[in-house]
Amino acid sequence: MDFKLSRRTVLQSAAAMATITALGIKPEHVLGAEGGILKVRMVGDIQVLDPGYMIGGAETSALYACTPRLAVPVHDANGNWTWAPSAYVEKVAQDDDTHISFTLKKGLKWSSNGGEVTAEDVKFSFERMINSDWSARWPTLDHVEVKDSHSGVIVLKTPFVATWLLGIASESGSILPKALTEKLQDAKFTTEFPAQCGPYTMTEWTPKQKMVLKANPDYVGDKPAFAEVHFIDVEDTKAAELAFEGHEIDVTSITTETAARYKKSLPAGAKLVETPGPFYSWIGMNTDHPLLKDIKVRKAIQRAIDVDSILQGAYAGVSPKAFGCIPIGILGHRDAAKYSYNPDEAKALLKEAGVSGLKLDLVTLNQTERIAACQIIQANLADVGIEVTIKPVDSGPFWNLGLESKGDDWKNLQLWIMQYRCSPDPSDPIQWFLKDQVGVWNWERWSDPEFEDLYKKGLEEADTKKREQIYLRMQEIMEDTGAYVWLTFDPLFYAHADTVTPAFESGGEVRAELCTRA
Amino acid sequence: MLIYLLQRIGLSVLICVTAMTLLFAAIHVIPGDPATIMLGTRATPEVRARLEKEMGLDQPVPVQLVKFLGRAATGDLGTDVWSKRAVGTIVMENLPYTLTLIFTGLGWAALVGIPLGCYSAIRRNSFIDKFTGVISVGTISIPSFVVAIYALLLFAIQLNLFPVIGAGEKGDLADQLWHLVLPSFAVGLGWVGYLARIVRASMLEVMGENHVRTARAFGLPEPKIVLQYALRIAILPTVTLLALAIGGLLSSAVFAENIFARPGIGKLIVDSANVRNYPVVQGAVMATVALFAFAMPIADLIVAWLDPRVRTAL
Repeated sequence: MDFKLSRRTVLQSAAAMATITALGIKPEHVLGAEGGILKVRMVGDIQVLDPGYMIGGAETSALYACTPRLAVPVHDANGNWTWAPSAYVEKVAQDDDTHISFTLKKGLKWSSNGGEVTAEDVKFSFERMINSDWSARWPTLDHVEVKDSHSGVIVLKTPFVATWLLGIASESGSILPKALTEKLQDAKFTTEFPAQCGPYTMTEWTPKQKMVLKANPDYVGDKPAFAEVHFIDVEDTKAAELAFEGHEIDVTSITTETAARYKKSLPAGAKLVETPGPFYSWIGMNTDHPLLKDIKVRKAIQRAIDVDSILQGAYAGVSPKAFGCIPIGILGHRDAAKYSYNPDEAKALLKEAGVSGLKLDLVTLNQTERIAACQIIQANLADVGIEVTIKPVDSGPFWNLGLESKGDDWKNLQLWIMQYRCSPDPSDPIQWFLKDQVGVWNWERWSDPEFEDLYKKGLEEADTKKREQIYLRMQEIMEDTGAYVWLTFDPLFYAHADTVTPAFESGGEVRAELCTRA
Repeated sequence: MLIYLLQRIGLSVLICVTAMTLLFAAIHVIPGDPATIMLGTRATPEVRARLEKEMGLDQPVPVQLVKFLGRAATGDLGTDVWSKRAVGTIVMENLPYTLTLIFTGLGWAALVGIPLGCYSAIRRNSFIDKFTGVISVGTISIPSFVVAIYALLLFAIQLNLFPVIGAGEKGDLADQLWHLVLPSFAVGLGWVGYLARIVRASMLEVMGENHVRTARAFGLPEPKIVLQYALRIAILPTVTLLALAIGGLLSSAVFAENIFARPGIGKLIVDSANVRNYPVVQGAVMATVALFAFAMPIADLIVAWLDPRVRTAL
């Protein structure tokens, strides 16, 4: 950038700063807007941008901003995630249960002299996912037929409605330049795109510091609102919050405690955003454990735990109550449970089961809010005569507890607090409770033929209303096992400068290309 | 002298090997497989096995250790399993930031602490001496991360005088120095008091020695006696201490790097350990251990250069 300091520019700048100060406007906000730079906190550095081998985080933001795709995730009228054709296509549509046809727009140019974006690129990008680390996003993809340079058909082996949200419209649906990617070692890449074609292009990456996206002058769609987006690596959330309050970051995720504080009193020039997160938390029970085999005992525990108190005491009163495993914003989200907190009913159920003096272990990850939740659970269960010992463990041993492949810990597992993360299709959060997941991620260790059957139907049902009913029923079955006390869908809280309107994808990553000036 | 040097280098190598052996043992003992922690429910058995293989965790610990040390001896610290970048490159990207932070912190601490210690010794029991004593103990006892947090809140957030996060723009030295002020203040503050106390005690001892008394008898000016005859000897324990300080400052740097979101070797180790990225942890730890282990013989050489008695004894 050329910038010459003259007497005139100094005087002009001084006058401008004086006016800004007199008007009570924060100078740094105005300078930010003039510079057109949006500064976003990223939690950890980028490591693998390749959609087949990525980890997540800011890599997701970079993929949405810098690579083309056939479809994008959007909210429907009910606030649920669905998909819409992207700005890169003339057309993309489901022809029948197993065929999706597409036509790319003409004139989409790859950077690095990569030529035009073609249907061959789509075929290459999608078919390489079949054998990638993210193959679970494309479980029924058979192949992609290329009709001509810009058109083709995605062919599925069996119907899979979730292909849209898990595959095509997700970061896993990012299209790569075939010719340039094939030239790379193992046809994979890590921290540098072989070529880009998005509203932004990644122009700079300073390891452990920042990733810079610049507006792509060759982009055919709507121009992005900012000339540059800087993703600044701030691993520690408290440090990021301070950086936000010091006006060095425009958008950052914040902790639940800070969100509660900001709800009472926002810093000057700041706004708070709450978005439904991709997380679902619950208290699980091992239905195979001798002490918990009786469903009456499990149902007694369900009714003895006061979830409202847990949300107040452990989650600062800002997290919504869960009634199932499908988070808010995803089709099939449930807004009521069949049971409620009722210690008298719990005592009656225990009496009916002939159980007294029950002693149970409650395992949790060694994290502040979960320990606090455990203490409330401990008090709740003590009220109905169940003695609970809290066992906090670190992430290493915790994630092995229910895995049969990692020893016999699963046999002693009784109660635990769990949180999973999911993608925005209802089949994703619910898949871990299938029969084939017993001993893997279904630590509750139950199975039900109707549940299995409904899962298969849910993958094929294209009618949204019918599909919703399927997932509502599946959560009802889960609840009826007595093995779950639903806790919360931990929301994501972001603080942002009031000069910016941020946008997020379902996992909470910033969609730089959709962020605008307020 | 040469034999002494070789002995010290040999000892440094032994320190590195011992430290890495302990690290490998610790990695082996830590429960939980990295793939599950890194990938969560997405970790299929195949992906998990591949990741373990790439990190070498499928091999016996002694084999892993020998392979690592063999590679490290040739300067190859391995490859990051995710980004596929050479760990040596990653370490070298981060190390300068930590070294700059440590030496700036130590530098300003020495510039303030040594004269303060000297002055306290010369003006023993004066108000300044007593005041310095209180301040020294105070700064020593405040952990550097507390200093970092309050310096950040006061000077960056409240007064808006310094930047909150980062290490400054690449290629902009002024900006980088500006970003260095608060972190180096935080890591160095405790050492001001420490150095002042050490120098004071050392100076008091030296000032009572015969050669100082003789210099005074010859009528040499007091500043010359203090700076040329007393401090030169009194500083010797401080030089060794400064080498030891590198180890302490490496841990202070971890806090400062995290609080100020600065890149650096400490932050690299913490971030990598959190996600069980063992090749990066191993490479970065190796670099810091080597740094510390080789700082000691360098300090000894400086002491020998400053003190003829030590030089002839070697």
